[in-house]
Amino acid sequence: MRVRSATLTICGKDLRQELRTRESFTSTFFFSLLVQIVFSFSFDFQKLGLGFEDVGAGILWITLTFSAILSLQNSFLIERERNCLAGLALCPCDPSAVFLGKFLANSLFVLAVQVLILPLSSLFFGYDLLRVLPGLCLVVTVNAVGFSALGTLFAAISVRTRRSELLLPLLLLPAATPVVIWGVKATRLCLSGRPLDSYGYLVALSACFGVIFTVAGVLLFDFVMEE
Amino acid sequence: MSAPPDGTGPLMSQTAFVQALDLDFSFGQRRILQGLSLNLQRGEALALFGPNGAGKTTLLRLLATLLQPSKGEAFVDGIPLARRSERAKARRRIGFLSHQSMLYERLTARDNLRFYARMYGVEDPERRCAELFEQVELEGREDDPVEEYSRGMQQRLALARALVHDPDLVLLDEPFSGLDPRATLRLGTLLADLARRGKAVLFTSHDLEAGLSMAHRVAILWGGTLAYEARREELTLDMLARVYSSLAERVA
Repeated sequence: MRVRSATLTICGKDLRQELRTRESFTSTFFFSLLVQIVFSFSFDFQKLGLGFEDVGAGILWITLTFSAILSLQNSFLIERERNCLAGLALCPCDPSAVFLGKFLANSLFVLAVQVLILPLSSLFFGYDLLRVLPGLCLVVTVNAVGFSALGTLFAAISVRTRRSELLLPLLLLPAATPVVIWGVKATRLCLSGRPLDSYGYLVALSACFGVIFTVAGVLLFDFVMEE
Repeated sequence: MSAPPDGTGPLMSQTAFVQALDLDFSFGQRRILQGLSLNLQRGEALALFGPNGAGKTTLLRLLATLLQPSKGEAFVDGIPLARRSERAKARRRIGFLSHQSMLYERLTARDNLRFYARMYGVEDPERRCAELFEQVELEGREDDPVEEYSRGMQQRLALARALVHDPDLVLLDEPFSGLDPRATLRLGTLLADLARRGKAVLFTSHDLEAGLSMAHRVAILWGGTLAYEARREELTLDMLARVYSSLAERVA
């Protein structure tokens, strides 16, 4: 079977399952919302003499990172139930298609949550989202995709362990530190109204990170799937 | 019948569709399979009996390409299962029903079958799904989520999943578990039909009577080796039960 059609079939299956149950979406969205609410009540920007651009990048990336971990974890836990992972391994497609399908579904899912969270953060923190929207969309998309590439690979590695819920963040967070730092820096510059030129190199670094881990996932997934 | 693989050596049967040669498999320090060799022809149903922990499931998982032996080789229609580059080709020919259903519980039965049909590159997934729902008698319940199915219905749907790509080798791990008597009979008819159509069927069971009635050949796996093998026409249920008991006594 061709890699592209297998990738789309797996991605479609994951999205269909999520649309039917909304399990991941509900937990991820409400977690993200809670983080926004907590931070909006924690900081009195006027009193502290700070603008959202000073702390907003951190708030957005804490939300994105941890909500992405929640959804990444779920994407392979559903494969562990009833040993569906073996069902996928038995399919006569290239194992990289399984990685690419899960990666695509995870990326779409993380981005879908961000599409809802960004306008909400604008409401909570009172910044002008429309002014920074193109740059912010670029930064969030590139970094979220890079994070999902690494996260998909690590979620697949950790899912066969007993304490996969614990292992995934332990593996993922240290390894994803570069992409998170580049994401925070680029977001801060973007929220400050700087032009793309000033943070373009950070976006490019994050894109390279995403490409490297996508290629790693494609090459290694056959071994990852082995029992 | 296909040609045997290259460099197969003198033990390799020229006609066997499935050939397992001197398979060893260890899990940690424990040897699950010890030099197991087995042949299976097209159009033949082989029932594999044995106590828990004898290595039946491991053998099926090896033949399904989910595990790799620590020693020995296995071939399906001449395709070496150990060769990574050949596995996709072999997997197209193999259908595996495991202890666990490999079904997505929150999706409907139709979504599940359609998904696997597409993954196996079935030409007309909708038509194939309709055929299978009829074969496993799940018509009318196709659009129910799998989590609402009973144990027996899930087993029947899992069987449909294993057969979705019309495999040449059908591996069934305790296929009767959870089935009511009517469904067990129906499964027997289905297995006979598969064998008639030239498929090789290898199934494990603890039910000597059901297993014997549905197989052309029976084998008993004990301690990771093939302890007994006979054709059905050479056996009665009493004889098989006596052989099984004597093996148990010898081990005890």
